[in-house]
Parts: sequence; structure tokens; C-alpha cells
Amino acid sequence: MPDRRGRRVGVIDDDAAVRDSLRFLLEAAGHNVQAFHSTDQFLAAADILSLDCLLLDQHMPGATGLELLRRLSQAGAHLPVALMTGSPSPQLTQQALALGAALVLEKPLLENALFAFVEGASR
Amino acid sequence: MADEHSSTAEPTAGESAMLRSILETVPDAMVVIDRHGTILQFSKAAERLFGWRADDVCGHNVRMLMPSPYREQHDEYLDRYIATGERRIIGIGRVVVGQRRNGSTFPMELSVGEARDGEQQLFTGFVRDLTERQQARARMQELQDELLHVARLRSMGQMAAALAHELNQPLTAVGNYVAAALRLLDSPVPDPEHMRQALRLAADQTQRSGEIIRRLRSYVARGDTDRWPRPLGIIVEEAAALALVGLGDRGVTVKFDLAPDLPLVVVDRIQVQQVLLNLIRNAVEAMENAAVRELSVSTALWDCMVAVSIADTGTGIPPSIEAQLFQPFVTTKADGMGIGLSVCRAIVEAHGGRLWCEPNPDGGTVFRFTLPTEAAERAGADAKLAVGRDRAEEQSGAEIATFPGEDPADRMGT
Repeated sequence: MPDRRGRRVGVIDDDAAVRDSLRFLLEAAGHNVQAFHSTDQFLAAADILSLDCLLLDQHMPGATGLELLRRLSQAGAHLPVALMTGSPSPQLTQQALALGAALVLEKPLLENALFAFVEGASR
Repeated sequence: MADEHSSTAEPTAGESAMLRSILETVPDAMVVIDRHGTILQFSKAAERLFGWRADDVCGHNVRMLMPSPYREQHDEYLDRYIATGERRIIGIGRVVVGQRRNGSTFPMELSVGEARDGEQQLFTGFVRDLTERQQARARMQELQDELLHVARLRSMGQMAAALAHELNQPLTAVGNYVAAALRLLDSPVPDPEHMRQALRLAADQTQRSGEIIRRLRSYVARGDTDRWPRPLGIIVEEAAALALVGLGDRGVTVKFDLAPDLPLVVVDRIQVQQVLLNLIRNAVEAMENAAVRELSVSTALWDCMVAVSIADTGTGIPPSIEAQLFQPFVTTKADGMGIGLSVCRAIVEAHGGRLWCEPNPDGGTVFRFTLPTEAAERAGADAKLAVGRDRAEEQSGAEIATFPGEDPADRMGT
């Protein structure tokens, strides 16, 4: 029986349309979303302990997704993270997984993969 | 029909020794002939180059060293000069074809001087074998063509990648909104307003995609130029590599000072590389006789334009030459690799930028040109031209700057 409780999902992406559409979709499915436009904003404003999982874009100006992954793993945060990218590659996947990401999601996002992560992830 | 008289008037013993010494040691192939074209002297280097011994050729007509059609024409050339005094090669130098003993031909640079030995009119020819230079040039041309071809392919690949990247964001958003709309349709509690909102937002993102495609298309659609946004750093590095091929042995140190995080420039890559090639090669040549030979290539953001600077530590450009530098067909050398400063300026100005030169405070010259960023393209032609205007105009002001006591009118005429 799939667990459909509302999850508390963090979204970090520099593109406003991607952030807004993810929020729209996840909230329509009954989840709660906190969205941020950059790593810096996330680190400054987010309460990491209040999140069940994180959707993190790789290609952002300033700090990339991988860099945040590195910091989160160094800080010992046990937060399930999915790295999102429009330019997937084996190297990127390898690096992401090595830094503790749960998986890499290719853009444009596949709905099944997205919800499998959000609703399947646990700390 | 060759005149078969043997050698020349008798020199003195001392002159003989000196002449022999010169002939043995002159690094260039030297051939001395009389007014009939008869070979009088033939240096050691000439023996090596043509494959004949001096004894074999002295007394014969020099046309034996040439293939057709030069061979047939040589007598005519000699006669015409003697009759008219009109210099076609004497003191000028020409590239012609020589023929070796074994029948093989080769390109050669021929310089001819005129001398007198008492009553006798003599012509001294200095021959430089250009085979190697020609081969090197052909290789260089091939390399250049190949690099430019690869650059074009990379260019197309980069454009495709840029397009894919930019379109991916709105496409991702559309995907999310449409997925949301479908979920809302399945909802037990109908919420048409919510659904409408999803679809409207999806439509907005489709619009956004259309604009991205339109913008890129308009860059490509400009006549026969392929001008669209790309990073300048790679263009500069590739052009510098091309320009410096074969110049590594000239003892020039090269410094790159490329600003990181420059915005993309909207340029025709091939054209900009031609400009860079030209300026870099000019800079290297300007430093040929300089004590310090340092070439610096730098990029920087100036307002909405990117400025590229190429500095040399050569002798600098005298103000009298500066005025004519950018005029067509003015060149101090003809090596076939450059496209001329006037064409460089035309390319830069077609992009909406400026090209000018300034003295280098460290000695020598700095050539600078500006290229538009996307922001500059949006801002328009006036904004683009405003950048660097003061400095460019400073240069043209220098055209009529004078030294104390000089009349500007004298300078203008040069």
C-alpha cells in the first residue's frame, strides 16, 4: 500500500518556473513544499530537520547541487536528496551518489520517478 | 645555341682569394651572370642547391637552371632590362621556379643585383630555396582549415547544447503543470479553477520556450553570419593556439589574462577568430627585434561589452602611421596569413563594437576591440558604440597631434 501521507519537501532551483511548477504539482498531490532559489538561501533559511526530503537542482549560478550535497554529508545531515539535472552524465551520477544523493532525476521530470522518491524516501 | 665562351677577365691574386672565399662561404646560393646570361660564378651553396658543380655550369646560359616557361623568357627579360633599364626584378626580388640537375623543380626566392666589373655589366642572383617554407605553409593552411572545421562543428554542437539547456527549464515546468492538471482531473472533489490555473501556467511556459527559440533563430538568420551567444574564453584560446603555431621558436612569452565569469558574447566565432589571429600575429611580428618580447592577451567586461586587448612590447606605432593603419590595402608585409586591419575593423564594427590601438605603457602597442554581450544586443547599437568611445577617439585625435614647432598640415598629407 503506497504511503500517501503528505511529505514535507524542500525544492532548490534557480529557475522560478521550475520551482513554482514543482510546488504546484506536489501540493496538488497533498504534499507540503518549501522552495529556495539558491544553496545560500536554503542554508540561511531552511529548517533542515523539518524536511522529509529535498529536490536539488545541479546547474545553478553560485554553488552547484553537488557542492550542497558535499556540505550536507559533511554536516552529517541524513536528508534524502534527489539531484535534478538537464545534462545528465555517468560522471555526474557517480559523483552525486558518492556524495550521498539517493538518485539523479533527469529534467524534464518523469512523474513516476519524482513521486517514487518523494513518497518512498525515509530518513 | 648556347654561347660557350669560358670565364671572365683575370682578377688579381688578392681579389681572387677574396672572391673565392666569399663564394665558398656565402650561405645563399649565388649565381653571377653577364649581360648575355652566361654564368660567370657559382657559389658552393648554389652547387648544393642545384646539384651542378661550378665547372659544369660556368660558361653556360643561366636558363639551364630554370624550367619552362622561365627558361624561354629569361633572355627576353635580360634584353628588356638592358634596353629600358626598367626594373622588374632587380632590387625587388621575386618568387620563381628553379630546376635542379636531376630535373626536379622547386620554388625559389630570387633577388638580383646589378654590378659592374670595369666595362662589363654583371648581374648577381641570390637564390633562397622556398620548398620547406612552402611545405610549412601548406601544412599550416591544412591545420588551420581543420581547426576551423572542428571549430564550426563544435560551434554547432555548442549551439545545440545551449538550446537544449535553455529549453529544458520551461519544458520541465510544462511537464509538472500538465501532470498536476491530470491529477486534479482524478480528484474526487472537482476543482476546475485549480485545473485551469495549471493549464494556464503551462501555456505561459510554452510561450517562454517560443521566445527562446525565436531569439536564437534571429541570431542565426542574420545574412550569412553565424552570430549567437557563446563564451569568449574558448574562442580566444583557440585563436591564440592557431596564431602561435610555428611561432614558438621566436622567444615570445605569452600571458593570458582572461576574466572569469564573462557573460556570453554574441559573435560569429570564425570572424572573431580571424581578427584575433591577425592581431596576435601582428603583435609577434612587431616584437621581432625587441629586447623584451612579451605578448599579453586579456579580456574584461566593460559595461555591456566585452573588451579584448592584445598588447606587445615592440617598437610601437609612430603617430604618422597610425592614421593609415586601418586603411585597406595598406600592409607592411604580405605573408598571406592575415586579413588586414581594415577587414578586422569591419568585422568588429559589424558586431557593433570598436577596434583601436593605444600605446602600451610598458612600451609597444595595445590593440583593443569590443564585442557585444546579450545585454548589449538588447540595449541597442548606441549603447554598444558608447563603450570605449573615448579611448578610440583618443587614438584618432592622435592623428593630428603635433610635436612642438610642427605644422599639423604637414602631417595630414602623409
